Amino acid sequence: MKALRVVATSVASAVPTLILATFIVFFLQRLIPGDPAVALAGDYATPERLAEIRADLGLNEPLLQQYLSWLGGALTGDLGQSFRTGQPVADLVFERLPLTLILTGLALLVAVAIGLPAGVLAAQRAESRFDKFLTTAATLGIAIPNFWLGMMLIVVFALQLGWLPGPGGPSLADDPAEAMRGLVMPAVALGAVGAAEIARQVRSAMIENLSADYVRTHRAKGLPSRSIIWKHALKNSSLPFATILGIQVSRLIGSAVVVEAVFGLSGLGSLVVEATNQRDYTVIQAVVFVAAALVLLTNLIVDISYRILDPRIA
Amino acid sequence: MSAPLLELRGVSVRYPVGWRRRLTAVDRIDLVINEGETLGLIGESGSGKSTVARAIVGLAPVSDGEVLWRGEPTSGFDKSRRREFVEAVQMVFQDPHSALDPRRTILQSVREPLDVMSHGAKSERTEVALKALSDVGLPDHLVRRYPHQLSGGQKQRANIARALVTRPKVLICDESVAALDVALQAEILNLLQDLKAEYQLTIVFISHDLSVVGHIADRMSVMYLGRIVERATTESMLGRPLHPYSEALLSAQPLVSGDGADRRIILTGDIPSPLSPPSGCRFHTRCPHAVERCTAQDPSLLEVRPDHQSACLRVEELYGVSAEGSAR
Amino acid sequence: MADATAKTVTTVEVTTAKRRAGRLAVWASYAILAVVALVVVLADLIAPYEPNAQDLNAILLPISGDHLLGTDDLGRDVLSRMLHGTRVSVVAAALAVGIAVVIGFPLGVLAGYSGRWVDAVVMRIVDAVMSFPAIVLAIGITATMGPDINTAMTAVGIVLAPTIIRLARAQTMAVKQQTYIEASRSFGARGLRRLILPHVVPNVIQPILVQVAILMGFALIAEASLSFLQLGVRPPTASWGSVLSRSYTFFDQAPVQIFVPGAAIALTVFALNIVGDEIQRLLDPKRR
Repeated sequence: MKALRVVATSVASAVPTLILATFIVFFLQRLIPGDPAVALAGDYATPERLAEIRADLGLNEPLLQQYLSWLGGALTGDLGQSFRTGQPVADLVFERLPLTLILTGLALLVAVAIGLPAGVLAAQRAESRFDKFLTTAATLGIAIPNFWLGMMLIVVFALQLGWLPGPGGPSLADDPAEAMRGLVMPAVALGAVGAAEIARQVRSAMIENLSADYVRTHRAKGLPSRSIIWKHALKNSSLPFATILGIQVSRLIGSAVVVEAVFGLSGLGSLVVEATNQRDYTVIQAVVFVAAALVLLTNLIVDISYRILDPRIA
Repeated sequence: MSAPLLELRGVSVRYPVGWRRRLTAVDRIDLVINEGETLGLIGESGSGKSTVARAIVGLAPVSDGEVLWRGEPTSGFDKSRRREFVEAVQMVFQDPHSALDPRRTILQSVREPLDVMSHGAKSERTEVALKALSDVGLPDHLVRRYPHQLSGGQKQRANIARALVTRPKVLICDESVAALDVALQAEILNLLQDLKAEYQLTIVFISHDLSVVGHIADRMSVMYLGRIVERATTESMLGRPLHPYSEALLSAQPLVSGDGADRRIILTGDIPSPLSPPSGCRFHTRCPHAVERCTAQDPSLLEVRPDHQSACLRVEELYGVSAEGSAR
Repeated sequence: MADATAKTVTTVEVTTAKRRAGRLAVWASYAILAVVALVVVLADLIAPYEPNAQDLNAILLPISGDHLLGTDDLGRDVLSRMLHGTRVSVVAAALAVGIAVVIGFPLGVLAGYSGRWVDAVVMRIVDAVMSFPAIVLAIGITATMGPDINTAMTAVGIVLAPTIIRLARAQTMAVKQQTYIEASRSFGARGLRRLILPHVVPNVIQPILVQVAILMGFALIAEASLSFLQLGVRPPTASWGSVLSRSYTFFDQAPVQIFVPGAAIALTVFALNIVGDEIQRLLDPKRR
């Protein structure tokens, strides 16, 4: 029962942000230069054809009504039709979504597997030479554009060594095993930069915790230092860690768009690039919307886990 | 009868707290400040004494009642009278360090009130500020430094100088020596005495420390939980307090009064939250003499001796004096 | 006693050694930023060739004395394109960060200073903008308005503004609590000219400077990403992102050409982050 109330509170507090976010997505349409109907039908369309398109798109309705009908559609899974092919945009998006989700998930795995232990070790030996080295390495890691790291991985592991497949492998549906092999490099390229960010943030959260009173008490009681770090300090760092993960998901989804383009993977990223080249505005809008929805969902999960983990909130 | 210089008539300060709740920091108090005197306002932290000061200078919202300047309500002042009032009533804050903007030199800070109030000719303002700084005894070579380069005492001198540049009539000192060590406290108190003579100041001195106020004040008012519980001349108050709270405060002071100091009254517990003040006499939860009726009846401040008022229901039983007639 | 002394000595030695290692990164970073700044100013003078001059007889040349970084698939000198691209990239990033500050700083100070509903409204908008992955929203805006470097960097500025808003707001709220604000209010200082400009802004601006260094780094990477997706600078203009993007089309023939622009970005962003941390350290009041 408590869990249900926690979820309800979290959802309720996310609603205003969600509404504003949909406003932003809706107003992307307003940024289309000139008349959207002309953009859609081309410069040589007859006035009758333009009028027809306007009526179709509801462009003659008041703005608020346009927004509401768009929102109603979006919330029921109707993201409109492609400007170019007339296909339902939702189909296009959901066809591409799994790959982006898998890629982001793998990258998150890489980022946590490297970043978490690195951050903890650095905090454990704070201000040591090892810590200094790791912090500097993490700063460098953050500075590396991950799509460029992807290119360098391709040059080394696909072009020079031939260990992993380069861009243009089979799709997930055709040959899952080979496709997963193709995801190794993009996941590493994405995850490495994430690992650097996680390492830095975990380090500072842990240092704060290790200097807390209860840690000193445990030390004084003679608990072995490894147990203090892994059991107590880490447990108390779980809240900041949830926040860090939430931020990472947002970053990774954003970066995945660019990295997909490097590896020629047909996920959301490639979809938005194709849509851009074809001026397919509804598709662009839909991808932006879905990306925001994913981030909001992640934030919601983080928020709920916060309320469950921390007895002081809720 | 000529009107007092500054007067508070039934002043309340309430703050909204959360959803539909209000915190009453100051509850319908009356206060009279006569020209040329030094008035001490005493109370623990949370008594509302600083809020009184902030209400006078307009930093706290006056929800009820009036602040009167020379008998006229300040709420009705137009722009020029308002400025006149602000110039005339200046405040010296508690923490000398945080009261000065870290990014401005001492001289800039001291000159600022003149600029804000367009006081005097622009070209003369620096001169005026320098004069004030030399009056408070801050050496010339320090005036172009930044606050973090000065000691606590020097910073408090700068704060006093800033309050003096507009040639005020009233100086409100809110715990102005509390942050300083004892030797410096004496130094600043002496400085205030000298400045009072030189600038012909009226001083409202707010403190939790009876021994400090006892040295400087002509009259005292003791505050508890947003109310004034006792008011008297310094002599009468220190000689024989007529309210259990003042008595307790006084007994905690060593060496102030020979007779009273041998029997210390220890107050138990903390001051209650002003969000939910106790019923009846607000002091009853901590009063060693509280009886049944103290929890029900709210005492008013009554004259019990000449120039001495107390708000205690049992004043006659406890101190053998009776409330004759009502005092404002 | 002897033990204690020995321990102190070791601590001092460790601290000095650590500090020296740290200083190396800081000085290297200053040097990198100085070089970048010089190139921005002097690109025309030091570039050996016209950045857009094609020479179809000298396509995809390897590194040589004539072409220190080789030539691309249109026979353009990559070094010259990198040098000119530095200016384009840095100016683009500065534009984005400038827009972020121009939008974010006043809004942040306003929100922090006014509180109540103004704050609530501004922070809701901030939350909403931040619920988009920054680069995705920038892509969305640019793709809709039409690919162009100025549009792209304006979009990046918009998605970066919330970071500045949050920081300026938090800092303003802290400053607002200070007694010196109350002191100024006590003698009638109110509003923009008497309170916000002289007292709030100077005390809020320093942490913003640190953030500006870090956001410059983000904007450089964003320029490269958007140009790589053909949403940024348009051919033939050279920027770090467009050189990288072009090089990627023939990476199997000249891998070194994708190394150089990426490394330039990484080193510059690294230097910006290190210098940002260093400014923060220098501003820390505990150090004084």
